[in-house]
Amino acid sequence: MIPAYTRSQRIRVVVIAGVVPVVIAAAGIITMLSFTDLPDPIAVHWGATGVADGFGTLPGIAAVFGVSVLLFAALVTVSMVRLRATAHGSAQPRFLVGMSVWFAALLTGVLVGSVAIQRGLEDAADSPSVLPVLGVAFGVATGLALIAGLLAPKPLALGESDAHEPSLDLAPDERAVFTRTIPPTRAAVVAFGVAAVLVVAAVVIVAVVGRPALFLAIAIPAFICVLAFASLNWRMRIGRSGLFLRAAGGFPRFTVPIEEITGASVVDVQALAEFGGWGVRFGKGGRTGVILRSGEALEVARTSGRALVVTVDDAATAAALVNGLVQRHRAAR
Amino acid sequence: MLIRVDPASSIPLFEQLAAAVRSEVLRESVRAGERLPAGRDLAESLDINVHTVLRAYQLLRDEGLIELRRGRGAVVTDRAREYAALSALLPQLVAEAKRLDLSPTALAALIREAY
Repeated sequence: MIPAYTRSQRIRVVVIAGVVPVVIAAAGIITMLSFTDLPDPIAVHWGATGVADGFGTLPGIAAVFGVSVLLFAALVTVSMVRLRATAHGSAQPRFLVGMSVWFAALLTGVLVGSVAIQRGLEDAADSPSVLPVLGVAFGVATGLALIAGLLAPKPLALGESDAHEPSLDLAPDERAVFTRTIPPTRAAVVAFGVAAVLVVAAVVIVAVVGRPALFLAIAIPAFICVLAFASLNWRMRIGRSGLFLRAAGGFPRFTVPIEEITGASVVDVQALAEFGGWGVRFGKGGRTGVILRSGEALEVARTSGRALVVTVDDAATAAALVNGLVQRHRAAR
Repeated sequence: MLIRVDPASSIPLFEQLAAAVRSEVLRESVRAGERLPAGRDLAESLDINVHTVLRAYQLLRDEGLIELRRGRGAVVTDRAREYAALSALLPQLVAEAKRLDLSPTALAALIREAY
């Protein structure tokens, strides 16, 4: 395992992806708390027309905001520090460093801006439209994120492929099949559980408060939750007709016919750095990934030049069988 | 779990299939509590008769290695864990047989006699 960054580069990454967002957020919170001429409660939500329609207290908003910036910055920083060098260079790590700054700057901008426009008001319902604040915050955050991404060091690329391509000798009449369930990691189960609890809690709160318009806002995360649950657990089968991969919910599913496979290899995948996260993902160079964890994975190259990457245990056996089947299929033609 | 069977071999298909599952349990590529592929799916993938697969599963059930439950299919039992000790002995046995230029059949015959 060769780390992607040298010691000094790692320090630079920690400063840009971890320290800068926290400093931005802290400065934002201190600025907001220093405002003494705010209405109470303050407006925290504006309708599509720009009229304030949701109200809350300042410390509550500041806490939610601070925690989300901190969590995101921590996630990015930890995964960047632990980043390992990959065969091909990837822009994902620098993109993520930029995202960490973007997220902090955008939230800070929107929050401080939307609170600042309420200074001197008696009633928060009179507050002006928040739309200009959104525009400015978005522009500034994007600019800062670009600078952060450009300042972030490039991770080390090894150049040559670290993949190895085992192969199984199959007799002409021999039948072979590889089946494997791909279970979720414990972290994925916990994350899903937390997300589900939050959605249910939100539904209950909306039902109690009784503002039907909010149901739509919750329907989307709820739908994503259901989709995520359906693809927590996968089943893979490799046989004479090719590779078949299916989520426990029946969808999504992937089929790669044997005649469309050029070869298979075992690769070492880094979920965040190469695919930007977990689940069904798209990486650089036409790679589609079913990424449930980092580490050992099966990569199946297709005649179209694209590839399917699956984080399956015992990937060496799976790759050996695919290569054996492909060779026999070619010999038979 | 990798399963290989060869219709050209003199060993009956259901025995080959049972042996393949057994060795995957030894290799810990299937663990206790895991479900084996449904008989129909496996038969289809291997292009063999579904009754051959079921016969292999019945053999493994009689050994106590799997449980067959209606609606749940074939599930590997806790006995799989006990195979670990046996699995640890095998490499030594095979290495010694290879040193003496014994064929797998000859080694199998020796084991059979020792029973």
